[in-house]
Amino acid sequence: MINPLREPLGNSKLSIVMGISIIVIVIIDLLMTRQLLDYNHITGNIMFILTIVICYGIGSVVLLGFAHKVSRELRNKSHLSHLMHWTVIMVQFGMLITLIFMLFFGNPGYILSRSIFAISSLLATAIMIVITFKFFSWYRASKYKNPIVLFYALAALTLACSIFEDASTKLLMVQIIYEEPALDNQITGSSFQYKGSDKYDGQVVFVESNTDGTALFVIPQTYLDLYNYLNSIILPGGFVFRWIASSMLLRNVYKKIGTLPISLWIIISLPLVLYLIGKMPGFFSGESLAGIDEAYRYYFRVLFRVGTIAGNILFGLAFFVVAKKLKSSKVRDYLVLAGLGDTIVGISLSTSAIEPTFGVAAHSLVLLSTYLFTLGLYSSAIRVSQEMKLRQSIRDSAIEESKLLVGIGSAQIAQEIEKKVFAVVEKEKAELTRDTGLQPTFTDLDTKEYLNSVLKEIKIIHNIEDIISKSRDILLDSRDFILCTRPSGLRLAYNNYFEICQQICRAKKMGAHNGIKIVTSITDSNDIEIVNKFLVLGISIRHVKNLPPISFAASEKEMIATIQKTEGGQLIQNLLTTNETAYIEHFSSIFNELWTNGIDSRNRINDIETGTDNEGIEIIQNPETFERILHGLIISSKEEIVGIFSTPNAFRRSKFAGSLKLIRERLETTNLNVRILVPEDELIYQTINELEDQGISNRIKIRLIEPSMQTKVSIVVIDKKYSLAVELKDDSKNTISEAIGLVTYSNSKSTVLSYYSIIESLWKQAELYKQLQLHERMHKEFINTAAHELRTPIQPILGAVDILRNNASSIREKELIEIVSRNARRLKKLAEDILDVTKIEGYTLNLNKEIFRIRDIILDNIHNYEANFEKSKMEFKFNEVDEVQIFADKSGVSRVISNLINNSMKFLPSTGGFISITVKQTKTAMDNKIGNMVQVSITDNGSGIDNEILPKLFTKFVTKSFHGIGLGLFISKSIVEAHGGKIWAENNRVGQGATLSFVLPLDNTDQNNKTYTP
Amino acid sequence: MTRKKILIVDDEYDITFVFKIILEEKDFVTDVYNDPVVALSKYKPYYYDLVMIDLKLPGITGFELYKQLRRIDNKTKVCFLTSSEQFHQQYRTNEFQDFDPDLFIQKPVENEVLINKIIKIMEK
Repeated sequence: MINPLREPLGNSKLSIVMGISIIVIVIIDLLMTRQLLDYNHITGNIMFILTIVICYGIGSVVLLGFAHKVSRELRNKSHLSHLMHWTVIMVQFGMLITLIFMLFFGNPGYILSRSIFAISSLLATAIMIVITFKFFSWYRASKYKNPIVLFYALAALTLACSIFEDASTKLLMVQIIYEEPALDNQITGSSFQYKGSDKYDGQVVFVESNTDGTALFVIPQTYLDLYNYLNSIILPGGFVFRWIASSMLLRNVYKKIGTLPISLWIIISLPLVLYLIGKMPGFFSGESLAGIDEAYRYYFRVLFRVGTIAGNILFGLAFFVVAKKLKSSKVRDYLVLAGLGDTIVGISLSTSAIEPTFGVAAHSLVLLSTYLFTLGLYSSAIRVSQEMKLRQSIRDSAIEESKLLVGIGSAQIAQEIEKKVFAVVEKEKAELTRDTGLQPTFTDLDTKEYLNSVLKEIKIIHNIEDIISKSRDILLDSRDFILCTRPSGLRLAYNNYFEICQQICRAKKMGAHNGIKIVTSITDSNDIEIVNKFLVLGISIRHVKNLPPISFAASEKEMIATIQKTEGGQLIQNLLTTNETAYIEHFSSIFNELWTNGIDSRNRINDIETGTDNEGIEIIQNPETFERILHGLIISSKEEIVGIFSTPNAFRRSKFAGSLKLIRERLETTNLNVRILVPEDELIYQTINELEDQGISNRIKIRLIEPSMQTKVSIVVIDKKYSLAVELKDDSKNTISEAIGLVTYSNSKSTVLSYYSIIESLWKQAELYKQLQLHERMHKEFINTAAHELRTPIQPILGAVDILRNNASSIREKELIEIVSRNARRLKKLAEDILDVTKIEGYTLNLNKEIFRIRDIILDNIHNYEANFEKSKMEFKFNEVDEVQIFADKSGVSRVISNLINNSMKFLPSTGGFISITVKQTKTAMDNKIGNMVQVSITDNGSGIDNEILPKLFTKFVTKSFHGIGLGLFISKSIVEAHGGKIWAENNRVGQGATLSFVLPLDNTDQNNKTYTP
Repeated sequence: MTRKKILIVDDEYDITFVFKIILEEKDFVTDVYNDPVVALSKYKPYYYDLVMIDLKLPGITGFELYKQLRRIDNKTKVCFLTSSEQFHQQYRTNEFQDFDPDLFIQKPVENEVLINKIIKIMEK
């Protein structure tokens, strides 16, 4: 059934017309109630009738009818909307009836007008509070807090307050005083006064007089201030917020175009300015403008009201402008509705409802207008959000589909995508309609448009044809051409534009082209095959191990790059092509880097074909990579691991990192043998012991390196196939990562075997050194033992010989005995010397110090010699310059003196020889200290010391005498120096012979009582 | 003046033979034993003026012997003969720490020196 009314009711144009009419009427009403337009009883009634007819009659029907249509789905979904809608309709209808009644039957006691006023205001307040809540919740829920929404929320709130405040103050504070019709100039009429009156103790706002009497609407003095105060704060507040929100909205709309021109700003600001200026002077004095001169009051009032009206029109216009910008017609309609509502509400609110006819009628339009405003905004909000959802789903849909339909062809793809997306959109639309009750307005055209924009963003070119043709174009148009791709890309090139390559190579020969350069990665024979095809043409090709993930080709003008991705099990190629210099330069530099680091493809091919392709030396810069590689090599080792550690700490770190454990595990399953060279350390000994305890010390052999032979590089060779050389960076650190520097890894035979042989020779050397030391030790021990053993038989010989000497009878016997005695003594001396030397060399020259007088041992020695040698041979002289006591090894010093005497004796002349011994105290500089010393000099008048021997005098085995093995002076030197003294020899300046002297420190602190080390 | 009596315990026969002669020439009464066990069994406490023990003895160390002797005779003077320097050192630092160094006579030693040392020891 076609309802003839439905069409016009749904037509927004009609609504706009009616809306405007309503606005005009209300404006007139406003002006009349605010003393800006004079009226009388007749004009007042006319206005009343007009208001009823146009506003409450036709206007309400049209607008409410429109609202009815618009809100159908909404009302079905939301109980509140349903309630609101029908309440408004009913009340509006009720008001209409009441107003008509008032028109014909009057308004006894002003009850009817007051009720209308009250009801409409209350309901309007309620509706405004609803929309306020909505605004605030939208603001809170939005991701990007739009300040416009906030200000609208505040505006709605203040508007609600205003409506309520206005109604409550006017209804509660204004008293109606009735006067008997005793006044002379009884006119049926009414007027606004706003005059203070003492008679009635307040401000008379309004006077209505008719035949029955006069009614005076008075605000008592007591309420007056509060009344003005409330009016002055709340109403302007609402106005200001609405102004802010509307101008922000307008600015937002025009933002896309550019900043608003100044003229527009002026237009927007004008209402506010006028409003404020108009209000200013009488801010707290209310309508009476008590503080202003009579003459000027009118003008201020004009300004104020013009500002009010213009402002409200502006607010409505803001919505209208936004509506015009929108594509969607439905949203446009809703916003128009909201705009009308916004305008009307402001103006009708300003109308004074004290005027019981048109004033009340006009004012009570707040109900209708707030409803329109609320409904309009709410619906448009829902609609816009729906459309946004749809847009989102189109976008997602497009991306999803394009992944699955690669390889069919771009045009086909676009069609397919459209089809699929349309299906999705239809589905979504249906869903949305189900959910919200509003039908989405996305048309198919909209969908297509949006889809294209989305597709453009993704930049999909799936066609291989496109890629190939693009590359071909770039090649043809080039003077330089670089290509970086896997062999698969080369195959593609070969299949599609090989002739062009040939062409270019011919051009190159003629100098017309700079040539093609290719970087690729050659791993197997297939790669070799295709690379050879290009090599034949004379193209330079280089191999790198790691190609970047992007294959690209570039000339000096243009470039193309393809990215291969595997997504959803499908291989996708995305193409980038540009002639932007920046891109070309970037990729050129990448190419150059690869080119310089690459190796000639021919060498690479050769290596692969001869099987040496895997060899190389790599520098490992990441310490963790090194540990990983080392452990990997250990785990896979089979035969032999040899290594040398730079420092004991290196061994410690390695052990800590678990290398030893890995090796041990490996031992169990293989025939692995390990040899390690480490500098000496406690931990090493510990480890050696541990290995012995575990019974694997025959498989893990550790040899110690002399600390002087420490290196700064640790090397390990596994199975004679892999080597790692590790530089030591900081030995004090505790972990490998922190301690090591550069690491080189090699599996190249020459390198690995070189390292192996180095370690091997060091290993042997360590062994030999150990052997050598052992032998030396054994050697020394042997000598020691031998010397000791020598002494034992000497004792009886000496003893027996002495006895025999005393009992010798004949000269011959005496001589023979003498011979035996002498030689026995020589043997004794020899044994002692040897023992001394071994002591010295075995570092066991311990000094047992005591305090004694030098003279004692000197005299002892002299006596000894005198007892054993014939006195005629020589003479001893003892010259004690100072009597000195010394803290020293008595037997040692005695030995020294004995040796020196012995030495001198060897060179004495056969007769008249003498040895003079001098003892004196001196000060000598020793080791930068001046100390007290005792100097003992032994001078002889023998043949002196040969100049040849002089420098070597105190060394081992140097002698020109026929006796002794030349150890005596060496031993003496050792003993003297062990005391911290010095010994030297010189030939006598006066006369023949030589003087041997030594000094010994007297101060205890200067003497080093430590084991002497030669 | 009574002649001093000296006991020598040394496993080397040649040494004891020669020593005995040397000492007897100087008018010392000398008993010699080559076997320490025998020496111990035949030991006469408080009889000798000096006992000379060789440190290196078979079966029992000189120090051991000394201790055994001391059990039955704590007054007689004892001195030691050493041939090995090492031994000498070792003993000097370990067992004989508190002993007077002059009590150690190192072999080989000249007869004169030997006599002097013996006299010195006995005079102490």
